[in-house]
Amino acid sequence: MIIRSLLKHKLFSVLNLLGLTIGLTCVFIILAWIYNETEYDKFNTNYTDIYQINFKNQKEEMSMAGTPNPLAPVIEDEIANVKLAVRLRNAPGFAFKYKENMYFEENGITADPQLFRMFSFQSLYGDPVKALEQVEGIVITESFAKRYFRNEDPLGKEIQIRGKEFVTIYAVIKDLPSQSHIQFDYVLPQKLLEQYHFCGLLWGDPNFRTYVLLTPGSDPENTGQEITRVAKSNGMPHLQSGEISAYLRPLGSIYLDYSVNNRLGETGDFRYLYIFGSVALLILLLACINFVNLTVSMFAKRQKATSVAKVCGASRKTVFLNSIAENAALIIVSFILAIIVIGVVRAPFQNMIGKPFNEHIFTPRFIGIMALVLFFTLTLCTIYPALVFSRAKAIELMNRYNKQKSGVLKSMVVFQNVIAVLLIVAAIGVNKQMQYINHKKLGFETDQIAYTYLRGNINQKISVVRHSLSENPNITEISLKDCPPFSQVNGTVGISWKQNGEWQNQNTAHPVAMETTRIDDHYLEMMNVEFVAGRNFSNEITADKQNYIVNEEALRLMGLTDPVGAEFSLYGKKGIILGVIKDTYFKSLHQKVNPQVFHLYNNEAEESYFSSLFFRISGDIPATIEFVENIWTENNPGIPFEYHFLNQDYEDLYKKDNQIAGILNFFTLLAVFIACLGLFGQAAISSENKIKEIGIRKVNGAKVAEILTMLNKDFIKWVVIAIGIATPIAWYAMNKWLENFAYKTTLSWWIFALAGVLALGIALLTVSWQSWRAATRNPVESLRYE
Amino acid sequence: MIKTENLTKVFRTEEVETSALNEVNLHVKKGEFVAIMGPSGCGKSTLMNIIGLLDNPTGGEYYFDDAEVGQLKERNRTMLRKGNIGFVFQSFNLIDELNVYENVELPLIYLKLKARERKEMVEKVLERMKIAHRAKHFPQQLSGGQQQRVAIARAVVANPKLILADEPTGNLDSKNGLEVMNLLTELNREGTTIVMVTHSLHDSEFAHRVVNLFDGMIITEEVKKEMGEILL
Repeated sequence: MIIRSLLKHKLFSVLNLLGLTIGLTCVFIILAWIYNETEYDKFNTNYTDIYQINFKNQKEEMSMAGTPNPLAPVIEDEIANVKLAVRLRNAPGFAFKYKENMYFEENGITADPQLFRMFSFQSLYGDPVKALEQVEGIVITESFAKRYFRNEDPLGKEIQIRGKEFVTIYAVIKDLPSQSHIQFDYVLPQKLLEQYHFCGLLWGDPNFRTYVLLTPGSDPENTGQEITRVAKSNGMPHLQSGEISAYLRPLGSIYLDYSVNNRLGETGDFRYLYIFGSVALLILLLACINFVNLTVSMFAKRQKATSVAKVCGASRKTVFLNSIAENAALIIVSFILAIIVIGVVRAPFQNMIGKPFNEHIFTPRFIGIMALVLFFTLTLCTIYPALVFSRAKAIELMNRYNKQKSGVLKSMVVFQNVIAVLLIVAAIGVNKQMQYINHKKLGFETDQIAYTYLRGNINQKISVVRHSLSENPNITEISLKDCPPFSQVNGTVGISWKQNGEWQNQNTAHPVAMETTRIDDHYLEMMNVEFVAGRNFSNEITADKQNYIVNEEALRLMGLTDPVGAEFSLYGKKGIILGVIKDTYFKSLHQKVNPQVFHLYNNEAEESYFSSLFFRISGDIPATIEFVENIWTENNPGIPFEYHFLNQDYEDLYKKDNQIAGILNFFTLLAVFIACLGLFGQAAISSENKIKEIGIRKVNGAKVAEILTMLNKDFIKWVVIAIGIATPIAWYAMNKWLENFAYKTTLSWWIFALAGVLALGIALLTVSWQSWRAATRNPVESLRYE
Repeated sequence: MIKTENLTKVFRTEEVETSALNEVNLHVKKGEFVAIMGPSGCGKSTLMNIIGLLDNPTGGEYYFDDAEVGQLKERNRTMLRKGNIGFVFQSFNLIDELNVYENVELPLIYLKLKARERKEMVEKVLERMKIAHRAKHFPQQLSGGQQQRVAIARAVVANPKLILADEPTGNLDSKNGLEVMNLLTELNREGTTIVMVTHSLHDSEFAHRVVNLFDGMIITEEVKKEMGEILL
């Protein structure tokens, strides 16, 4: 009976099935992604007792995950409930070599041996704890082992790093779970790092992440205070003023917390969980409303069966339960279809978000979540239609269905359109911001500029390399910088300048900090940075090695009226300001342009500290790259040559934002499609219910256009009301989202107008087909004797 | 006013071909009151629909006011119908959502008349049909007789030359039926041509002429009474 009834009203059943299946698929995919994001690090058996030590500056409400080297052993000794403390740090990129296999490995860490006691990384061969207790030991992952050793047994093999030292493989672990915020291919011992002094190891150098394992039941807040006390008494300079203190961040919140600087490994952002969680909820509501709306609208068509059943003695309860059963059957079919579709679309979706889900999304917990969604959908979709069906009296049903319920239906259609308009505005707004970012004038050039990091010993011979490169006519410009292309040295204090004969910014509690960058005299010229005052460095003027170039923001901060020639000092090195450059977006537009100072190295010996080499290629790119590689290999044997293009890297800065925009577009499209299904069904039912009226009007002289207007008018009215409701909500939400960007597009009125026009246009297109069919029908058919 | 020559109408579905009208030659003069009778399925309504420009014939010719209109496109049929032809149906065919006044006003709206003009015409016709006091009521609130009076009011409000009535008394009791027939007769006397489909011998007595259809063909025609004054 249920199946027959569903088959009889094919269009209605298909629309309902399609809408709900798409809706549920979207919701499950989004929930699977959210679930995946919130499951990070939970594979650790000590999950609830592991914390990361962070420092908090109360005044700026900013958190830092950087901790100094001596902290871990001291707190493990001095604080009773700290069972274990582990330091780890990104290892510098090394070239690894075993026989003929040589690769540059960037994804490694150095760590204390207890790392493998604290975290549940699975060991395959050997003992990773013991491996890290040796200075020359190394722990590698399974895929790292395969890369170098293929089918050989890696245990006990020696592998050469940076063309010099050999380390021995004492343990191989399984590849890390994708849901670990710590990611690495190999671990070198902390002892090795200390021996080679890869970075500052004193209390004043916050170069490490420190994780602690507390005894179960410890109070993390008290322990945080203890750590502050111990670190302060041991002389950690940052804590002496009392403004900064340590606190413990639970392992579970590390991955998603975007507010902590200097995080290690993969990062998520819980704000996106909220955004997509809301999108999922909206889509689910949209699909449910669709279902209810179509079902109740079909009431008029199905009243005969109901009324006959009632006249024949069916009780209210029977009609109610029948209606529930019929709709529940459709919903369960949609649910099953959605699960099948997820299996199919999971892979493309993972490509879209650029990372894999947990291998098994159908865990008991996630199945529980899906069951909850099903229960919610069943409740939302079946109760109201069943009430409408069962409440109507048999005698009313025998007459024409009166329109007292249409108020509820109309408000549901309005609500659906509100959701559609909201999502359209969000999609346009997000795309506009992405356009803004992707096309904003950065103030410097990225085209045709390639760069390479000066790894190995090549920076010792930088003047030779530079000279060799300049002999190739395809390399038109060369320059050097002391840090990667998109970064500067943050927050350098020790800056002062002379104003009215007085040195400023000295001996104050809160000195002005600036970003400082060492460059060579070609860098700013090569990047085509615009000067607003003064001049660039010149290699012909020896005094320029003492001098500085600042940006407009630095100038604003200093308040100098006549900057060129003003005296400036950095860490006591006194010189003058040579020039002022326009504010230039060297970094991501998520961040503001900070005050920047550029200066040169004092002498050629110091130039070996340069870490990036930039070269502009005009002409044959592959041949030129090969030329550079030859020079590299000649001067830097044993270190593989790698290069990047600046414009490519710049695009990568916004990869995540662009991905988010892509996902939002995708779901908006689906949501609008679901809303269209609803409108389409509504239009079909409405023109069906109005068939007599259309006939009468046509007989009385109405033209097709006039009938179309009549039929579409209602729908347009609903959409217009929806636009009115959605606009302020969308405006608020978009403003909130744009707060994430330091540089943002404006929310022009046309975004809302365009969303409105789009929503109206789509609604019109959807309903017009039905209306057209109804309007062009021969009126005679509908006016036959009743 | 109406002249059909060898009018045929064939309905085709995938399997069957039904001939609803077979070479019908009908001539209705201006000011005439013609009743069309015949058993169910004999083609009465099909003929009415073609005369009323709601449908096109399959073959033959149809002259309305001496112009061939048999093959007009829907758009042009609508144009010609507007203001020239009024319809009265057995089931009244009023729009439930519109009140009496609005139902009657409908053809005038599509004639694009001004609101004031429309008001005048609607009020006049409602007075005449004696339902002015019900102007604000909705169809469901009226008796069958009243509803049919509203339908007739709507059919005549634009002063059409021709009224097509399809079993106008079919849903009414005898008292209300008589009232409707009297109204139609009165309209005819004032010069409106009327073509009426009916099953009722009683009603056919009001017509000048009765045309009998059977299986899509005119089998007999009988003159009931002479037209008092035929307006040619």
